[in-house]
Amino acid sequence: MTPEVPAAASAAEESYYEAHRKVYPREISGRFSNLRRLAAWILLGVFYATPWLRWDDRQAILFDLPARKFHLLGLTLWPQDFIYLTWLLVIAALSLFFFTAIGGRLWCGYACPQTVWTEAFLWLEKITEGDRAKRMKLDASPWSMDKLRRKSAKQFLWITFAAWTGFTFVGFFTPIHSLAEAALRLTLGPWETFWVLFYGFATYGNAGYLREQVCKYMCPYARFQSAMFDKDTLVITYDAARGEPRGGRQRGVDPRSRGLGDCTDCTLCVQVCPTGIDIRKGLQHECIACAECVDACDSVMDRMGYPRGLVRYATEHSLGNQPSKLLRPRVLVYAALLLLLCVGLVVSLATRRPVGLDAIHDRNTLYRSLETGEIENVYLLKIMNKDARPHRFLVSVADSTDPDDSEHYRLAESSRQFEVPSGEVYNAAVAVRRDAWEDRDLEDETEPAHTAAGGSAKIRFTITAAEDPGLHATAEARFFMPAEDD
Amino acid sequence: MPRVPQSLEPERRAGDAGAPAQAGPRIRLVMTVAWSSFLVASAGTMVFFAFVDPTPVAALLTTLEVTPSRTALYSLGFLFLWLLCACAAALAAWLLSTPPAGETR
Repeated sequence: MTPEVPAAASAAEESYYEAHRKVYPREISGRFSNLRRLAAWILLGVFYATPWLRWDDRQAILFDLPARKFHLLGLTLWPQDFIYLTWLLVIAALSLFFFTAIGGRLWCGYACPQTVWTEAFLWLEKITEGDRAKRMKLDASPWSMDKLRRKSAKQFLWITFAAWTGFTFVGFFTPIHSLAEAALRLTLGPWETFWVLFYGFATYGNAGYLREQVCKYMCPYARFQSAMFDKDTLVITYDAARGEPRGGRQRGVDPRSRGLGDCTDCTLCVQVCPTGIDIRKGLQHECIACAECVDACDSVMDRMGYPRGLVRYATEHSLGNQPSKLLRPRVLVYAALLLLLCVGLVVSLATRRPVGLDAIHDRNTLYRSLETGEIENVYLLKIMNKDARPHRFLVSVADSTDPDDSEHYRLAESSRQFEVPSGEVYNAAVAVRRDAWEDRDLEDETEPAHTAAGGSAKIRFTITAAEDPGLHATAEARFFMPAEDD
Repeated sequence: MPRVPQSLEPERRAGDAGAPAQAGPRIRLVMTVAWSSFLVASAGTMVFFAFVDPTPVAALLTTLEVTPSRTALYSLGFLFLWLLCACAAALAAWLLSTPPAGETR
């Protein structure tokens, strides 16, 4: 790919949304940026390494779309288990609410993929184009060999990194080992190629160019996060009462003697901001709470010999010298719901029956009278084996009002057991026979089926795994007979 | 005194000479339509294909000798849904942008 076109390289980068000034965030080190860097490394590491982890001879985490099953470590989920995925998403959303209510936009600053990949792309930009001042000079300068070299190096790193990201992303949904093999042999399928490029391009565009504009214009969370805020939520604030009036001064001079506050108006907090805002103007919706300005200001305060925290994490209450409350109704409600859902998920996953059964009566023929004098009904049994290994299931049938009665209903020879591979829904045709009404009347006046209306009785199928009797499922169906006076 | 670079950087100042012209509202509209429909189509694709396995459906509907792979069917399903959602979003945007009757009379 060719280096950036001059238009994009100019300081005033064109945006799709408004006259946009390219933001050149200055690097700063400090408590929070170290924490952010650590979070970014861990999250990127998790993302790139996870698809390569193995579990029992298969990929540990694989949302195997082509095979319609999800592997999560030892757990295998089938489309029938979609409820768990929804459940997980609800838990994720509620966690976001919970942490937003307590800590403000922690997600945006530390964990959002947009932030994390922007950090990574900024780092690649830094090692090829230099620090903030050098980047600005380079963009402003006319094209030269040095500029071409640096821009090409940056593009090479960006594109390689983006392509690898796209590949890893697809590796979550289709087995990554065969994907890697196909990629190396250049035999990747058209759709796999499409999605690698699609996701790679999205990464390249979002983390390389759109950056803070994604947060400002595209992110739905940025629009509704303030609904979770209250006066006890941590936000990054400038302590105007302490800082104003701002102004330059010599080190060692008492600012009060000059009629100044603690803010030296060095603008470092503005230069480090990845969204290009001035935190001193108060809380703004563009602020992603990355705390870079906190680190920047603290470093200046240290050098000036002032106490830290002119820009800091604070709550509205604490700024007004009122006590902040951590446990408030909003937080308690979120926490209770979250706890309830998490416990429910664990319990329900732990007690999940890995086998399912449905019985459907044959639609074409209600019953058939055999030469032996028996009546036969045919059913379609849908046996779902959601276990990770194949099972041989033994079928039994009984009157549903009298489960111990195993004599009245009999299974045809071919209907007694079925092998069901792991993760499959097996359609088994099952024939059930019983004696006609007349014979049974003579034997037993209290025959339950006898009282059924319209010549039918309820029966219950049970399947049991041959080698694991604990693994069983039941389903009910109707058995039809000719009317007694037929 | 700490040596700190110049005051506010020029690129932060609003109304600078040489600022690029405002990108047209049309491009903004196109991006908004594409992005919002992408989000809805992604969610829709997930829910739809969780309940429907496209392979037997495709085998019934097409006369192709080889049924396309699930990956292909999912992808086509997603792109189709994206297009559909984009139509709805574009229509909504267009209706919203039409001036009220009072002004055009």
